[in-house]
Amino acid sequence: MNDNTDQPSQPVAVQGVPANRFLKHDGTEPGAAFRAGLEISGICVIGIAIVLTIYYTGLRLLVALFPPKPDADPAAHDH
Amino acid sequence: MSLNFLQDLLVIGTIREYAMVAIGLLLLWLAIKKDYEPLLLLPIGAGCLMANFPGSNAVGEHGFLTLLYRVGIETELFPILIFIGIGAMIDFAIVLKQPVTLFFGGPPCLGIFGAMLMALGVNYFKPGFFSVGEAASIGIIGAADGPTSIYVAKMFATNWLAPIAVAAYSYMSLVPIIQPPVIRLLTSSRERKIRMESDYNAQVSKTVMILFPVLIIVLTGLLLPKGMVLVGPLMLGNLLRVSGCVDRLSKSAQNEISNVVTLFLGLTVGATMRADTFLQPQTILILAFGLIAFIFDTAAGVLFAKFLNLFLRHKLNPMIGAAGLSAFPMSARVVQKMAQQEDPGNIILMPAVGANVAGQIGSIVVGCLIISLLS
Repeated sequence: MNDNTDQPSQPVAVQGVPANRFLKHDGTEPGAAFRAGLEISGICVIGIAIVLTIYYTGLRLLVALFPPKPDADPAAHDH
Repeated sequence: MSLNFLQDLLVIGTIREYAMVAIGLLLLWLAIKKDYEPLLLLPIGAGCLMANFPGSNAVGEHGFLTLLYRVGIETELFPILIFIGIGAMIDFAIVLKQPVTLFFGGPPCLGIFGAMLMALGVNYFKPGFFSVGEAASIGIIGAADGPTSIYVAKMFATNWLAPIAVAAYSYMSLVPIIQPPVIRLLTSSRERKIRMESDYNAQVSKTVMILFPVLIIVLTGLLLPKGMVLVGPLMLGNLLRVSGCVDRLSKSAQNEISNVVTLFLGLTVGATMRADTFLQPQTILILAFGLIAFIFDTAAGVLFAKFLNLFLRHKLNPMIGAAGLSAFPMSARVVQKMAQQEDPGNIILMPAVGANVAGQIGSIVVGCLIISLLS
């Protein structure tokens, strides 16, 4: 069974302070919060490029492995 | 005869509460008269109206709106159910025919980070104004994806759930107003006249159609397991659609489930628009940053297409980059309309719709990444 279901959405360390290293920035230290934002942005930009590339590769593979059969696959057209 | 009974019946509210009632009425007017995302703005307006009348028992310990909030928002169930409906409505065939279209879903998400950093920049003027979680939730308005915005806001910015949801859905309906000036600013008339020659008549086997959602679920499970909560329901909905063996479920997901949950979601979000949390300076900034996120999204998409044109022999019409916004199908329609304004015979609808569908995937991937990083 997946143990993710037991995890709270925001892990809490002590006294209500989030344990997540990004979430702990409440904005009272603007520089640190902004740097955290930059880091999140950088990771996400690289992450989305990687994820979309993997999706793309998987999709190309699918299309190559299962080419449409001539006159046998009307589902190929738009629904 | 004593007038005490009047005191029992009437509860006099504050100006702020009546201001929220006015905002509820404004949302109803925008939905009914102006046709701005009426499916969402009408229930949101009605929820706001019912929740803000002083003494209203629609909210509170036993109020039905509070009950709906507990059941559908606190548990994060409503946005997830909406994704099943969206998945059942989306036709990914166009992306399967031209897989490279998938990449147009990425750049428009840059607006998310622009808005997030601007929100964090406010802390330099007023320390503690927005936490990182709140700024990320504000940025996600730029995903142009209501359920993702609500889901992320519920996780990291519960206080600002209402303005974030209202901004996300309002700006989606304003895409035909927001996008054209940005596109015109960044493209020349000559670029907007570019005709695209792509083979969107290519056939894709039914096997690929069915395996695509399964593949995305598997890859998400391997790469971003914490994002499964967004990707899984979307792809489940699509699997219902393409599998061909559960037409009843597919139709239910597209209609009954989607409609009922949209009504409940809207009502519940509207009910969270309470004077004490909504009438704050942060709300104005959230609405402003949401708009900026949409503008950045559009600009990033156009600039991405222009960048690709530096290397391509057959040039792309850079406007299709703007269609990579998740607002489906408005962005694609806007881009097609602009293309025809420049050249009545120019049909770029198919690649624009492809980019638009890719935007759906891109926005959810960014939502998954943010959830994975912050939770």
